[in-house]
Amino acid sequence: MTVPVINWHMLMPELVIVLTFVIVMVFDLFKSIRKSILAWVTIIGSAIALWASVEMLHAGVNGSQFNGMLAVDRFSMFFKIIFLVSTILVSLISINYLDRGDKRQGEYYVLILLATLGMMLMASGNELIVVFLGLELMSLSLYVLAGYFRSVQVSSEAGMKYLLLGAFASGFFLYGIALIYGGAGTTSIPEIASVLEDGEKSPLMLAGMFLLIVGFGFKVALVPFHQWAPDVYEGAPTTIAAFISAGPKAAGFAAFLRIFTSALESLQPEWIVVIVILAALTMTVGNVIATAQSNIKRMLAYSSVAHAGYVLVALAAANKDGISSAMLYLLVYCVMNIGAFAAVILATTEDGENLKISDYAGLGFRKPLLALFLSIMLVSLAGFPPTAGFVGKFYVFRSAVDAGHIWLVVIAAINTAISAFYYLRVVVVMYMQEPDEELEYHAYPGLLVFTLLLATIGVVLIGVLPSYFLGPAQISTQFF
Amino acid sequence: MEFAGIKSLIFYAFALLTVASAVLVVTVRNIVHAAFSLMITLFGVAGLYVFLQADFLAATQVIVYVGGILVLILFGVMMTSGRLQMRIQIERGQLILGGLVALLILLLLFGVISNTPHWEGIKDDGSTLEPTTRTIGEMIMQGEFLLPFEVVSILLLVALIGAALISRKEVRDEE
Amino acid sequence: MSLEWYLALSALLFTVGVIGVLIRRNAIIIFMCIELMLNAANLAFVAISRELGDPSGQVFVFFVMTVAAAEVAIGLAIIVSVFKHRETVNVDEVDSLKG
Repeated sequence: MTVPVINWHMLMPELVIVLTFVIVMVFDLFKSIRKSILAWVTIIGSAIALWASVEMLHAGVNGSQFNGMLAVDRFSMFFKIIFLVSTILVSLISINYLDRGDKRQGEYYVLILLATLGMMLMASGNELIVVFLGLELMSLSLYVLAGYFRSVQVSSEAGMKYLLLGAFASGFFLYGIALIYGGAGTTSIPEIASVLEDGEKSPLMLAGMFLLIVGFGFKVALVPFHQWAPDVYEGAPTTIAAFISAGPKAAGFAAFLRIFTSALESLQPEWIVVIVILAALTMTVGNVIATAQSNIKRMLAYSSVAHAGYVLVALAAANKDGISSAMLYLLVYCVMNIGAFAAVILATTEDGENLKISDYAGLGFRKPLLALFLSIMLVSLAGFPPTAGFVGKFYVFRSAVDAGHIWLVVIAAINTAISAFYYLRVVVVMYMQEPDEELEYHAYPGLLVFTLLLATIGVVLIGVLPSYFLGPAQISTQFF
Repeated sequence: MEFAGIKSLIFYAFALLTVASAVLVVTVRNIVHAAFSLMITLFGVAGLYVFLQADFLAATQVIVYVGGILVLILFGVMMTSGRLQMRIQIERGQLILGGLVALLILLLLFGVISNTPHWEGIKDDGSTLEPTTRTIGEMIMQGEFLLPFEVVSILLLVALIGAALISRKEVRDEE
Repeated sequence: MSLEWYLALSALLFTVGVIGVLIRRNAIIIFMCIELMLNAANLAFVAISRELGDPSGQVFVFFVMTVAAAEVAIGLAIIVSVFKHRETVNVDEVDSLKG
């Protein structure tokens, strides 16, 4: 038992994020500094961490730190790229959103950075206890962020609801870890895998696995553990709703993928059944309820539930293709979902946020640029070519077909058709319907348009040149 | 033999105390009574830690849970009700659903625990282990658990920032 | 006492906590029930750690206690802030928090 030798180069993304949040905290102390500076520090810090992650992915790092507790491999780097892209996009849309009155913003960005750090630990954690602590770090920051607008009642209530269900889920997750510890005698992911390979399938492991699925199910909002999602998305600040729907969901899946396809690989016959059922339920329930929504934030909430179902389809394939297509899908999903939320923020009138779908009538003529952006995001969410959404779904479905889950893909295809109905309904409302009343819209804030432009470029680029993004995902499926 | 008998008697007493007071937390109507039942449960768990020869954790359990978390919860009760009483009723439908789900979990766990092979059982031969404090400290500060320790310290920072942020007035109204 | 007894006890404690979360409506009581669940997990960790003779299980419990403390601090701050709203916005609403 010696002090671990730390190779600081391998911890670059994490260290940059830690440094950034310290800088933001210090800057926040000075009253004379404009608050948007804090956002820019966050964005620049995340961009540097993003650059470091991309470089490390290219260099093909494959090692571990802190006595094997933290895996520094391509898999984690790919996910870190997803988280950092989400963080940058969300910080960009937050600048205008918060400037409408909030005078103290330091904590907002600090908490976003800390949540990002938690996600990175979840993706890298090679020890269940590190994954748990990363999950808690992320979740605690998000509970506070969901209730960030203290003077708005729905925001506080969203925070409370998220907190109670999140803590409940953590209880399941922790008990699952305890049972796996009992069954395998260790919590290190590679060691659990080797214990299981030796043919010891303790019933404790199985029970632990089920509890882990329940815990993850709450965190990434799978049906039947999804009830919190619409309420939290509706009540939380819109930027935070975008954040919760993107990064944390990807982080949950990152840990899910690592634990289930690495540590519990030998239990595959047992967990695949559960995953297939959950996938079918999640897609169907999410999409069917989404068609009935009249509030666009709730619609996007149910749609994000449904998208988690598509990722599960890839997970059900449980091979290298499945993992890489899930990774690509999560990247695509994060970009287009944050884009859609950014468009919702852009569609703000003088009276505040405009969340009813019927309010979008006639937007296609009065705000053509906004309507165009929103349409592209929705078309991509629905999965039409040549957008990224199509590419993502295509690889997911193909990997599931190759793995023999034909009927699951049939369900997924039917669901895609259902989802096209409610996504395109918004487009139809925007372009084909006359507005009931004239709404006063804000002028376009330049930064929001810039963010939407970035998201659009991303969506189209992935849609047209998928191999540039699938390639890195395919070489990143090896766990350390 | 006599020693082992007394020891198991004490164990059963602690186990009963823990579970019974936990049931009270869930069922009792008065929220302050629930908090005090929780205190008894937490003490009971601390006692069980002593049985498992986890001396450091038993002390930490009393200090952190009873002395910290429980007091915080009582403060929460005080601040949300003004008067220290809140009458709570339970809806029947929810009771049935909750009971069913919980029964399922309990059956699963009991089934699993009774079917797990190769446990020799914890030896109760009266032998004592070394105090664990030193081992735990070394594992955290200079051994394998350095990373989780750092993460936990950041986690506490989040709690600090978050709690301060939520309790502070929003400055937006004053412009 | 063999490990089975401790695990059965912890399973019982966990289940009681789950029932509590599912049937109670008061946010603070739900919080207490979550503490029960975490304590159940801790008990399982310590018992297994004793069985395996591996002190790392006890280190986990140490971390979990810290997490629980952080969670309670944030949780109660949020619950109290929700309560403030209910109280100031609509006094009748306070009842819905109790019920």
